[in-house]
Order: sequence, then structure tokens, then C-alpha cells
Amino acid sequence: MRRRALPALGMTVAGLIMLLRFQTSPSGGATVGALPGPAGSGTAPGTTAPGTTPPGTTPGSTPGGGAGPSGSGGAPTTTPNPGTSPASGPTDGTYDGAEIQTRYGPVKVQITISGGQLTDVQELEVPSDRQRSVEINSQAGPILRSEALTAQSASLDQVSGATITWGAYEQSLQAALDAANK
Amino acid sequence: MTDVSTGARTLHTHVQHVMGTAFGITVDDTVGPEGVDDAFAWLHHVDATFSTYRSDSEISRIDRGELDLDAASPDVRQVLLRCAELEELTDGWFTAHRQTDGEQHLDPSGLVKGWSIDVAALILRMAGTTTFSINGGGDIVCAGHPEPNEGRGWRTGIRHPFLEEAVAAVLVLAEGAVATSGTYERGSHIWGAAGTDLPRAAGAPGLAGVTVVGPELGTADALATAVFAEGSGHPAWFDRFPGYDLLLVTADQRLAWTPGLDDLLVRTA
Repeated sequence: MRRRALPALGMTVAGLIMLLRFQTSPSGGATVGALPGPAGSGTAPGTTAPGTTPPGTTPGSTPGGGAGPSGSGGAPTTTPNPGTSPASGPTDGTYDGAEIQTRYGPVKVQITISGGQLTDVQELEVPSDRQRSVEINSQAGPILRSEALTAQSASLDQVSGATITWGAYEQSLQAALDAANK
Repeated sequence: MTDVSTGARTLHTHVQHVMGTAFGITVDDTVGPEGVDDAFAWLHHVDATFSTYRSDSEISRIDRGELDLDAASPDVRQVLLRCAELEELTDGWFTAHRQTDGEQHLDPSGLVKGWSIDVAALILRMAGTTTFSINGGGDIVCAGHPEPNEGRGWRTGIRHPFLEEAVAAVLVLAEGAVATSGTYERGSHIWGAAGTDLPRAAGAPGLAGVTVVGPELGTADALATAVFAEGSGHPAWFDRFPGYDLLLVTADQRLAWTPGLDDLLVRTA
């Protein structure tokens, strides 16, 4: 699972970098970025799912892996406000983000600001334990069709539903950016 | 740049950060960027108008009693009116209010994001776009055919609640909206639909994920949140919304759906 997870996180960071880059130059019009790919495509490298960035085109991107979170549920305790730009630019250097606990372990990133630009995001900590504990205690409503759930993997155009790691990443990254702007 | 070759044309995905999450607009290269720019400008405008995190937003001013509803913008009045309708139709399971520190505050976030994407879709259509997908934090409106040579709709994965990198189901949507709510992280919080936590503790021990498919994302998103909060899976009031279908992932790892999705679900052998 861990091997799988890393490309996903890489894609997330690639997406964030593109987003942040846009934020710093809103008049540039270059809004094209790596959409966080399908969260659940589960596809191996070589996927044809849209949302996959060609390897190496984005700093921090990890080759392969069509699995990137497709959205954010926001952080549970703090709410980054991406709409506001800092009055002054960030100071060059490296900054550690906050360690964000998820059910699957801590997430922590480190960013590098160079020339006032976010140039790199490193994953200092990623969840290593991907075990899920699942309660088995419910029934679906009587008029619904139903069948046993299976994890599907397929070539997808899009994915509905938020992902955990995206939220934690956003939170840790925001903390690092806040530190850079102090 | 995300380019996906689709034979005669290429799909482009444009991403911006709006309402505290990532929004992606995917269009083909038969249209210019103007429609996409206009759609994003609209989404940012909605964020500024409706944000509960910005003290100068209309919603914050109404909440503090500084702005009368009569003096609010038509968009705000329209959204709050629809919130009241949804609250009534869901027997109170959808709400535009949240409790913070014992005080009740106005918070229409559960409708705003989906509604704003519905309008953004209209903006794209007016610009001549027939094939597009707008994805706001996992809630989607799409139309047209991503693979023109195949003539099929958008293959839409529904995030698997327990396996982060798998999907629980695949739906092929030619046109319409899909919203998903679920306990992906914390039992009492909803991640996804509105980008906010539920204003009440959501029990729902039997439900891991709720997806609603229908013509409008505002309503679909609100319903996904409400169905999840209610917890039984298929509350009677859901049938007050013709044209909307439910897809549930239960905590005991079953997939359940209303018959309207029979033809949209991709079945694997």
C-alpha cells in the first residue's frame, strides 16, 4: 500500500504547486494545472486517465500514478484561507509544515522558497499504516438494490468524493507557507 | 497542463483554488479560454459573497445583523430561499445554520458550492461549450462526451470510503451532477460535500458514503449531506426529489442504489 500511496501524494503536491503558482500571478492567465487526478482509479503507471500529469513536468511530481486526491474536505480544525495573498512575498528558505494527524498516520511537508517562489515540496512524513478497521453493523434500506462492495479499478474521467490525504496536505502546506511569510 | 489526447481533440483541465478547495474545469480545445475564465471569475465572486470565513461577505454581514435580507443581492436571496425549501423538504436534515460555541450562525455552505457550479456550467454552455466537467472538491457537473469517437459519457468513479486509492463504483454520466459525502476520516464529520463539517453530530454508523446523482449539483450536494446525516440510507423524504438517485456505500461494505442508476452503473463481472 505504501508504494501506491507515494505517487498519490506526489500528484497532490504537484497539484498544489500549480495552484499556488497561479495564486501568485493571477493575471497570468495560465490557469492550466494538474488537476488532482482520480482519487480511486487505482491504476498503475501508464494509466490513461485524464488528470495524470506527464512525469517530470512539475516540480515534486512523481512519475506515474493516476491516483491523486480529487478534492478537499478542508481541515478539521483550521481553515486555510487561500483567497488572501500575503502583503509581502515569502522569504527564501525551507520551512516545515505542521504535522497533521490522520487516521492513517501523520502527514508533514517541507517547502522550499527560492526567489520568492515555491519551488519544492518534500514529504517529510507520510502515513505508513494503511490498515482500515471497518465496522460491520448495518443494512441498506429495503427498496434499494444492493450487492457486495468491491474495489474497482478502471480508466476514469473523474472521481466524486473527497480524500483524506488531500486535506492533511493542504493543512500542513498552509502552515509552512504561513511560516515562510512571517 | 493536463492534456489527454482524444483523437481529433484534446481535453484541458484548468485548476484554481476556490472556496478552500481545488476546482477543476475540463474542456476540449474547440472552445477558447474565455468561457473558463468567466466561470472561474464567477466562482471567486461567489466565494467573496458567500464565505463564512470573510467578515465582509454578505453572509457574514447578514449573520451579524448588519445587512437586511431585503437589501441583500439577488443571488444571496435566491440561495437562502432555496436553503429554506431544502430544509423543509428534508424534514430539517439539511440546514443553512450551524452551532458554534452555543450560538447559531447562518451558513449556507451546504448549498452554495454546488449551486455555484451549476451556474458555472451555464456560463460554459453560453460560451458554446458542449463537452465539459466542473469538479469542485469532488462534486461534479459534467456534460457531453470526453471521448468523441466513442460517444460515451464521463466515466465517473465514486471514491471508495475505506480504500483511499480505489473507487467503490463507476457511473457513466452523459450529463448531470454527482455529489458525494462520507466519513472518510472522522466519524462525526463530513468531508467533502460542502467542504465543511456538519453543523450537528452526524451519527450514521451504517453509512460510509452517500452519493447523489441528479440534474442539479446544488440540490444533489445538499441531499448527499442530508441523507448522510439522517443515517438510515434512504429516508422517505428523498422521494420528494424526482430525478435524483442515491448510491450508498454501507459500513458493512455493501453498495446500494436506487433503480434509476441501473443503467448508469458500470458492472464488473
